Amino acid sequence: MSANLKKLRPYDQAPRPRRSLVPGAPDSAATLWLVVAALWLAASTGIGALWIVQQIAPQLSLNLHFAGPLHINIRVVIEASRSLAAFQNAVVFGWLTNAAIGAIWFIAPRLSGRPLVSNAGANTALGLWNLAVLLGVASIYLGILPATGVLSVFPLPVDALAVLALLMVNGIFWGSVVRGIGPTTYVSIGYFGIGLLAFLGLYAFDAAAPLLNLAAPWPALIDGFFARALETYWLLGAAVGTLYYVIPRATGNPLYSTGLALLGLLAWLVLSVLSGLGTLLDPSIPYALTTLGNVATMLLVLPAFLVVANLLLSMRGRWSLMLGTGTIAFALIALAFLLASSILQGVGALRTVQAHVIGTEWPLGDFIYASLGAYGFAALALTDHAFPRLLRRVWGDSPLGTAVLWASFIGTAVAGIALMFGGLAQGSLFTQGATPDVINGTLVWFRLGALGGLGLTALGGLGMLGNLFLMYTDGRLADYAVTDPPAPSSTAPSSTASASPAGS
Amino acid sequence: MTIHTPIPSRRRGVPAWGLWLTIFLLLVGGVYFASNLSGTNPALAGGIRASGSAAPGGVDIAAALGVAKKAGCQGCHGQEWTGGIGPNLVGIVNGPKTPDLTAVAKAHPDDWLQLWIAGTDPAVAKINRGPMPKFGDGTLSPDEIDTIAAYLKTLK
Repeated sequence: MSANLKKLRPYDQAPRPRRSLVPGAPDSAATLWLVVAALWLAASTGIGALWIVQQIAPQLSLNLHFAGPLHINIRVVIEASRSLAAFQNAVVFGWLTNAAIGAIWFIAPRLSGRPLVSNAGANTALGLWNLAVLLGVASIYLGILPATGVLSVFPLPVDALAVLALLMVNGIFWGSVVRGIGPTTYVSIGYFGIGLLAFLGLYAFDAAAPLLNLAAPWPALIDGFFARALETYWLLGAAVGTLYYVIPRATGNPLYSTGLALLGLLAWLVLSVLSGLGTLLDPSIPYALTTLGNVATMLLVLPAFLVVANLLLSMRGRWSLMLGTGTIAFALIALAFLLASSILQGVGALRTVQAHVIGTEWPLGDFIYASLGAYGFAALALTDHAFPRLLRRVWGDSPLGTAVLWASFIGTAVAGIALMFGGLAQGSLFTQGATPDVINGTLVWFRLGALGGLGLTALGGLGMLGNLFLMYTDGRLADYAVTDPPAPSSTAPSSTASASPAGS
Repeated sequence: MTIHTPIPSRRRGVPAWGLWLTIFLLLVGGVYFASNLSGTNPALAGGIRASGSAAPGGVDIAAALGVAKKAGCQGCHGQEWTGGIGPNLVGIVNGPKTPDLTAVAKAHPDDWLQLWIAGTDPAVAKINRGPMPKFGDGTLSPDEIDTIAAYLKTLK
């Protein structure tokens, strides 16, 4: 019997589905973390461009004091060293961390076959984490934190928010995958799990360190160790885990070798913690201990090479995909930057080179190659692969996709090279005893190159947001449900293909 | 519904070239380590470097950098101490960078910098400090002010 809808009373109608304040639908966490990451990409590279501008023209700095209510004085300091600290924090904790956790929420359920235990919890953690990062970056410009130039320790209440968010992220990840862990667990899960645990442990330790009231130089040494270990365990680990997922998926090929992947994982696990020892530069630290850290930094080229070789060998028969502007193009650029940055970090860890470049702009160029290059392009590859599957829409045909790829690639390459060469020149001038005016006069050309590069990368970030918006509003609907296992010999399953067998 | 889509692998073991490469790189690293066991680390914690000068004797650079971090000196004077909102401090051993302090430096040639950093002595009370805080109001101890002042005088 069919009901006449016009005669139904209000209480006869089916209740409208209640919309929760915190989205909890499947894959909503992956979507939201990745969208927020894209916003941070544009914001962080914009701050980076501001830092270079203030390096070139220090008069463009601001130092304002406001007398607020209740005799609270508010100070706003926008100058180069603070912009540098804000840039590094925004890149690491804003862009890369949001993207890495979004990637984990996307990849883990697909590899383990189990949904996240709580998408709503993951989205709550998103709010807490980004509130903490926003407050932390603001506290740098408000003069609450010193502008140390390395990853800053945020004020304790902000750190508490961040640690709570990381606890939630770890709980949801392990709750989702722990039952499926076994001898056949895919290597990406290993990288993600170790990376997340290390991130939580390192962050909590660095946040609690000021409570110990350690004498100088220990606070600075702990900060340096934290920054290095955070990079190797968390950022590098998450990027490699992402690439191990994205390349086999986008090519439809199997991984070349599980044994090689596990050897790389083991080497990364051991060398990462030792690499942090290389940052302990102080006369009170035994020289051999710091050398051990430097050797570990040099040897990190081993896991990087094993990852690159394993994934390139997995590309067999699908090399034509690198000519497009899709997932594989982003992933291959990430691999190139991964190898380049690990070699450059190894070279920078040689004692003779270290003495020449430390305190110069070389480490910042290296930071850009690693963070915006290797880890950033791994995240871009994942977003290119994941968004069509999360939103069930196809990327549009606008030239924005091509623009994002080339602007980000050229911008990152130019900015990194300019700062590294500038650092070499700066080191030589230091050795010659040049005056600061001479040094700044020489560096201005390198800084202009870096400014152009970071500006291009910022435009790439804005382009990605625009492309995402166009996809969401105008993109053709596509069904990415998997019906058959991937067929290695099928035609190219690019990210813009609909109903692709690589859709998961 | 979450669809389980594992990624297969072409081979399970480690190829021989992977093992040989690992052994070779570990040997190279071992040789480098063995040949760099003795020496003294520079005091460069925090990435701060005095422009163009080695650490002079008698100045506790590590302690000074700790004080600088605590006080946030480089927020205004720049990472390289070459200036930002605050003046360039490189070469401050030769005298003040602002005319306001010239008379103070003449009257107190040995400790004018300490007096200025502290900001609590009557000798500097009438000078416009701009955004420069009075670190002698409890933020820094007299010893800490001496330490940072001695370090700043090494910047050449």
